[in-house]
Amino acid sequence: MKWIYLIPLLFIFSCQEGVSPADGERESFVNGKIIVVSGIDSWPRPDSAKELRIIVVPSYPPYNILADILEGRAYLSDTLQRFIDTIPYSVKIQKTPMESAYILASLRFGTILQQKMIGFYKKNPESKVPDSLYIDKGVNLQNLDIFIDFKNLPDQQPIK
Amino acid sequence: MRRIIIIFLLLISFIRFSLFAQVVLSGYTFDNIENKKLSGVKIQLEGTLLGAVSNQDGFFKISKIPKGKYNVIVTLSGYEILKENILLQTDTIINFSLKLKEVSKPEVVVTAARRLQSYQDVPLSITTIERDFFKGKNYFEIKDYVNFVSGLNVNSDNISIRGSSGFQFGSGSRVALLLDGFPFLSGDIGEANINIFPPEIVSRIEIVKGSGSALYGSSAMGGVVNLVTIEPEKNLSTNIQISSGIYTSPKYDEWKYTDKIRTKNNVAVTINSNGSLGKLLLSGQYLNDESYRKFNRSNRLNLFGKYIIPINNGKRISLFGFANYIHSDDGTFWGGAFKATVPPENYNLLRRINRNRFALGLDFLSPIGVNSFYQVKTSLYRTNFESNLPKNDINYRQSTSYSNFNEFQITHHLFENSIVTSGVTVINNWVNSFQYGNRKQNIVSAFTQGEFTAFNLIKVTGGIRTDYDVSDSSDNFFEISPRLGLTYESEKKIILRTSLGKGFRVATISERFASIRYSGFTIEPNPELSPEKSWNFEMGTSFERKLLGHTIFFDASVFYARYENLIEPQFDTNAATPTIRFRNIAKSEIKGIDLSLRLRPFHLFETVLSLTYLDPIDLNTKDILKFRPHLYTIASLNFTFKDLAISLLYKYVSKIVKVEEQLRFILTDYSVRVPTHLVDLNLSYNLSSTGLPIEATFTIQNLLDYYYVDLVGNLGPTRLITLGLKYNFEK
Repeated sequence: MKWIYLIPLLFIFSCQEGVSPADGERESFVNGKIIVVSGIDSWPRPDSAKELRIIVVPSYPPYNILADILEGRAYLSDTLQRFIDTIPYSVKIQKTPMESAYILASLRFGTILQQKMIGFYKKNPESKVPDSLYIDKGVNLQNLDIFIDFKNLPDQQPIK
Repeated sequence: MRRIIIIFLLLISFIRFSLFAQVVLSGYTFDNIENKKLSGVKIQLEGTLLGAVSNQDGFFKISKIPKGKYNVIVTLSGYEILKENILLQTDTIINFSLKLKEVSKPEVVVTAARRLQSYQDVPLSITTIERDFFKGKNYFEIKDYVNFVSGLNVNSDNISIRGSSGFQFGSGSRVALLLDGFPFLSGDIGEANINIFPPEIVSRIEIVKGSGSALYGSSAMGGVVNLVTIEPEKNLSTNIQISSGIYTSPKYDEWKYTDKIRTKNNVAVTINSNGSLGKLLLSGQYLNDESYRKFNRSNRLNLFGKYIIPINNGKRISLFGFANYIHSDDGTFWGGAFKATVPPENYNLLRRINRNRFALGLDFLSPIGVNSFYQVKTSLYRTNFESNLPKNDINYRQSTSYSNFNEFQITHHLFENSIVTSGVTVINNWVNSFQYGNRKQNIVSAFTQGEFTAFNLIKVTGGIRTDYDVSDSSDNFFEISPRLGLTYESEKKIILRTSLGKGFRVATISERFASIRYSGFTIEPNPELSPEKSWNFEMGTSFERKLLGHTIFFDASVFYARYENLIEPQFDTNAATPTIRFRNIAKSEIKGIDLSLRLRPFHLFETVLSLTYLDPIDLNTKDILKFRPHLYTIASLNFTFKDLAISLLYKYVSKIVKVEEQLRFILTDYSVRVPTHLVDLNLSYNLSSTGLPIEATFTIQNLLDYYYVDLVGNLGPTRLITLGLKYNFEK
């Protein structure tokens, strides 16, 4: 009957290390909402609003967003819903920590290279330039809301 | 309502009021080896209020027994239960000889039939934690004792049995929490918090691991946990317990958030008295926990009092009062595995929450004639919580609830071999809440359960309960919950049991009407929620045998539960912020096995091994239900030599297979999870042989300092080392 003690020992010896700091995701998340302040009716026609995404870019003004994305320095959200007034978004940042200088909402109106910046993240609504953001390792940043006014779009920075 | 009253009147109309001649049963109780007379032995006639306790000479006497056939149940802690079927036609003298237990095992329970019965007569799986298990352990909270029951998961505000609940956001327990049969579920969120009572008041914990709805109605769908409080027997007994513990520093530098030593301290005082004016139990506990995590501190005060007043002719009144106050940080999930001991960045560290609970209750027990008795219970349970934030803050939370419980129950020997228990219950809940609004909910129920014994070997149990739920802001519901059970005891003392029953749970007020921010989520109301329903089947066996020279007690069961309309939190991915609504999931099932083995492989050692395997499936998606593990395993080793006791407890829970993916919107490292391996070591030395009425205890909880995730997004308790002194004065 002494063998009975082997049963719990089997479990204990199978004991892994448990949770450790290394188990944490290296990536972080940037979350918020796109809020269309000009109303649902202000959306461009569907053939001019083919795809909506958030892009998190390391520099402002951006040098070459496409190259940044391809080389893993900038990050894209999934395709977001359109033609509504409040759209939640979440962008996974795979390499952290990262200093983001520019979080923008990009609307594709034609081919993949035909994009329009329709809004960006800024702490002060009156500001004309985006706010930078330090994204630490394994964090989940919330409430980074971007306000869109289709009747008064911000000055365009070229999206290459 | 009229239907319920008619059903109940029909049931009690069968009751016969016996007026037979009366006889006396008397005798002595002995130890079967040394033939030493035993005092404090309880001798009870099953299904009646008739009984006695043997005096210092081992003598007992039960008077005014109507002639007839009875099951006599004879019990004393540490001894095997003795159950004898006797025919009483004249005054009778019987001596009972009790045998010391070789292995600890459950003996008597009250929860499964709402009256005292022996364990082998219960058709359901039931686990008991006896007071003996509490001895020599320096645990401050009842959950620490219950934690070592296979198939149970206990967190701060809910209990899950055999995977009945996953992650409920603090709402809607599927396990009924009772204290001496009084329900302790809050009227608003349906919380079953086992830690609000001082552990010192508990005599036995009974855990029914299957639906108890046929007797206890809504919320007992996943099982019942009943705390049976101590009934004072000594003239005067005072127990003072002082304990202090420290959390050891985490292994990882990343998790060290302070250089200060974090402590957990406990002071408890309990007074028992048994005098001519009645029996009194008073207990108070103060617990201060600095926690192993930043921003998880709490101060808690638990108070409990019970007064039993005997009245002539077997009648008695029992009154209880209870108060609980908790002031704590209003914590949340972790900041991620990298920062597992600190809250997320930007979390408001000034948030606090006050919770208080208060209850008063009365229990009146009286014989009717000599063959039956009735019991009237009434109680009022008030709960309140409020955060310290201003009311215009999005995270402000406040709720006050009252739950008034009234019950009339009658137990009767309908025929010689049958006992019927019937009753009516009325529960009124009022809620006045910032989040849930001002709501009312009334539940009127009637139940009956009959047990019939055939050939002294087979016991058939059949019961039915009807519940009528009336809420002021949603549809009314009428539920019928039948149950059928069978136990068979062979001549070789092998017990077979099987049961089939229906369970249900009505959505709580918080599930229907919550409009709240909770740890970053927005929880939105769904007044259309239907009651969840289940059918539960189980089959089991238990026996005690000699194997290779050792006595073993073995218990096994297979179970199957099929749920409809299970209420689970569901994410609304189209909403502007991470939003949850409680919704009815169409169908799911949980099947599995429970095994338990108790043996004494060496003279001074006792071992308990138990295992629960679950297969919880969402039948819509054919995928595993979220937040449920597959396997629980418990192993314990107890060593006792004279005044020294050592116990080693081990718990394994397999990794939770699936969590809610949408948690990623608000919770860093939501997907990090590992199996749980917990080892607790308890040492105690009783100094009473030296003349000091003191017991010293030394406990290490989570001895291996193994780091695991408590359900989701939180580090489970790390290693805690405590030292305690317990002073016990008896007169």
